[in-house]
Amino acid sequence: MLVRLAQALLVLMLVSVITFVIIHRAPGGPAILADPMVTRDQAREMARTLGLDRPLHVQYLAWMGNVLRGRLGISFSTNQSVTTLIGQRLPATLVLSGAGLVLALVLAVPLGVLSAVRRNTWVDHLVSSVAMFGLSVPVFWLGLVLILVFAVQLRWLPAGGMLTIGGPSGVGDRLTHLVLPAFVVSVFGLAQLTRYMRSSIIGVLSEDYVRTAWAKGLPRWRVWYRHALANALLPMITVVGLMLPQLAAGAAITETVFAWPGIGRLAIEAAFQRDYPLIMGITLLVSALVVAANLLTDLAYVYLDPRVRLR
Amino acid sequence: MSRVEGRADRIVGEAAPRRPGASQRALRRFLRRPPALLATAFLGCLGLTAALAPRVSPYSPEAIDLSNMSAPPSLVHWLGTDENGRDVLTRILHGARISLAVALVSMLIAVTLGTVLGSVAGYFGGWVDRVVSQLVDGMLAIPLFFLWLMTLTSLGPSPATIVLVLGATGWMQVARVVRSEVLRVRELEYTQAARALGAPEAVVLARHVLPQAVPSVVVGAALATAFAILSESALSYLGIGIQPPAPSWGNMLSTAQQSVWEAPWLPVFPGLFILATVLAFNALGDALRDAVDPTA
Repeated sequence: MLVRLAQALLVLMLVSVITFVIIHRAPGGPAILADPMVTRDQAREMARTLGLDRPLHVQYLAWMGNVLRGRLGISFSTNQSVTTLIGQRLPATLVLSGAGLVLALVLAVPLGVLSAVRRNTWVDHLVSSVAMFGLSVPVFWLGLVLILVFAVQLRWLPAGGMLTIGGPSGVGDRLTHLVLPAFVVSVFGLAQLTRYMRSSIIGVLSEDYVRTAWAKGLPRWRVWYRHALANALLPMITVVGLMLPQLAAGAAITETVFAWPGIGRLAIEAAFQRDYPLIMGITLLVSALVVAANLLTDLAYVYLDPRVRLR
Repeated sequence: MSRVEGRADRIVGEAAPRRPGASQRALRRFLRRPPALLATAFLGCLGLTAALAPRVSPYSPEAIDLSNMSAPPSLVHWLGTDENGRDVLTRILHGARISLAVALVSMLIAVTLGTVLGSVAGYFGGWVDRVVSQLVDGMLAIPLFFLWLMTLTSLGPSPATIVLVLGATGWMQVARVVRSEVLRVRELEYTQAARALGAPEAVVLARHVLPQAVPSVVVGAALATAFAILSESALSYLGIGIQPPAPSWGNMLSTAQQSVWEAPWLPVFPGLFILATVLAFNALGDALRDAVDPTA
């Protein structure tokens, strides 16, 4: 366990060093210094107050020291604290990716079971084809098409944003805004999970204890759901853990399509502005969240399956 | 071939899938699958028309025609024109040149990196294996998208930087597969026989071990290409990929989104091309895997 934790911390360390070096070594500085209204002397003065004239390792250690004390610095472009900026945007992203993940899980499990127990029938072929489609469709385009159909043509659902500005801002309004983006976020994971679920169930169905269950004359739904599904679900925990980086990327892209005020859009804006503290803060935070969630899924697996032991 | 021969062939094939002639049977299995054939045909046609785009299309991909903006599909402009009056089909074909080239080159980088690291880790084991495996696990655990975002805005988006970024972060799956394949093959009798006959380690690896990993590498290459096309189009859509006026499937969609209310057909076609191409590479990868390893 301690080894895993140390590995996770090492990964985060490396991510922060790599990001730090890439953004600081890149040609051209932050956008605020490139402003044509700023003279060269003023720019140099600003760079000095921001500490950008110091050697790179000194800057990194100073930044790291602050991070360990829970401070992520001040954004170059808005002058607000990075922690505040992230705090404003993070809930929206968590809602979006959480809804996407739940949707993917809720749909993938029955679809995978159905596909496996009806192996090589038209049902299986249909589910597998849809899953293949889900793996291949560009998320942002799917979002655009759904906006075209449900917002532009049918006018059933809003085209973007998190709530109607100046309108009725109840739970219902928020839910109608969430439907399309959450579905778009879920699609890639849904496709992956369905495929894994199918092969996992097919594997389990040939196990001895399933044959015993059949031999006892149990009804088939009982064999499928009590004996097969319970054991096939376990490896899915690991798959969900491995899916999380994709989920974070998918959410960031979806936020742009649907003008969703989350952390992904903030990251894209910050990257264009070369707002160093903000980019570093977001990258580190998202990586930490994903790595921590990954660690939790590993732990959950060990807890739920006594056959597995951590190295 | 008679029916009896066909069955015997299959039975022997399952008992010893790697005996000489296995690749011919794998090819036959591959060709028997309609999706695989369809995917190959589609990619062939697309590659050919894209390569010949300047000769095939009478229009320029970048010249602006303000008298003919956002025209719907017609006989003159099969897929209509965009908000600057440029022929959409022409731009899609020219975009295919860039998108396919970026995807294929970054796939080559990723597959080369993955094969080298995976085979070194699997063959030599020990601390080399531990370092490589840690690197693979670490890179699979972090949201690489945010690293791409930063690297591309810092270094400046260009086809070269996109290829480097996608190649440098797309090798992990191939490395995993190659590593486990090499681990399996290096203990087989004929590899040990080669070693016992005094062949140097490098020769054993290159002549006897790596060729066995080729099928899995080919499968990995198809899937890596699909992923690279999706990634490039997403980056270009966000404005940190291929820069306009040069057309790419992704950046065509980001301008099309702005006129979604006036010209709703504009976002449809570039996306369909991305979908079809990625689908074809994924189907190809799946079919190749089934053909090489019928038990999976």
